[in-house]
Amino acid sequence: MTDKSIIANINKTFESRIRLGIMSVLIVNDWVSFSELKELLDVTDGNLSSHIAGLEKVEFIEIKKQFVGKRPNTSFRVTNTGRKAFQEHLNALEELLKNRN
Amino acid sequence: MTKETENHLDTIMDIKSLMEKSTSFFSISGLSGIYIGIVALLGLGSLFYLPLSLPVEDYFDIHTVNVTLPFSDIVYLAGAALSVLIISLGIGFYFSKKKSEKSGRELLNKSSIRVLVQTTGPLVYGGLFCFALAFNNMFGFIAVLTLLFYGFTLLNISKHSLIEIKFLGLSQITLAFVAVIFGYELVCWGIGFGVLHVIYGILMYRKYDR
Repeated sequence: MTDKSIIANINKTFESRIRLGIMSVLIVNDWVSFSELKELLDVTDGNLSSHIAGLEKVEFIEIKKQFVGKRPNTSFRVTNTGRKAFQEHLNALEELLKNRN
Repeated sequence: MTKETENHLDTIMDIKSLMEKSTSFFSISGLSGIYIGIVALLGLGSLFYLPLSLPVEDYFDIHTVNVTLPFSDIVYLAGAALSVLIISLGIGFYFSKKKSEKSGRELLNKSSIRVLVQTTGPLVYGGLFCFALAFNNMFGFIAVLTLLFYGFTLLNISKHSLIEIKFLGLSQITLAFVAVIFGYELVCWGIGFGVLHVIYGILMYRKYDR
């Protein structure tokens, strides 16, 4: 992938507030469950699922499914790729702010 | 500041606040709300069966000031209030601990303890203030003040917890105002600490705990 397309990809992924939110949470926590994300971001099941699918598609997060007793429990963790991309995005935002001011 | 810059600033602030929130999050179980509401209503109901010197409504009436209550009254009222408080705290922690165990997360870590200490200030000061009022025979204000201070505390906690807590807190504050302006203090108290807890508890349980 060329530099340009990486940037384009990154920007597109983080255009959604919710995806940004998911990444923000995963950056500072280890494995976070689906329900915890739902509580933190105050979104519906379907909405959260679709954004998670999007992030998994670009390999920014990884998924772990296990059973807690009888209940299925899905949790997520940021990948190194995702961490890097998010950090770059943050840096870019701060850079943009610095230049405007 | 251009719109774009404002957007970027907002985004960064959102990111940072979510980072903070997620590490100090206080996850509250809806089940505790339901049981706390029931306990509060039971506590309220028990007052009608205790040998009190005044009709129960009078103890909630904000006009009951400069009235010296017999010591037995104070014992019964304080006893009922403390029982409800202690049992409610126990219920709250029990169910929230169970819930956090399910998600494999520690309910009380360094961050959430810090949040707890920071946010329950109004509760402590409110409680002390109510004691001071009691010493001065101004009992009538205590009931509505408990609604008010509890509402403040919930608003504080809500920043580090579920959004429903914020609405619950606002409801309590509203009820305090309604009680002072229109009367019906006993009913408002019962709705605030009883009915609303059950309703929000059910809502939260259905939304988050299943």
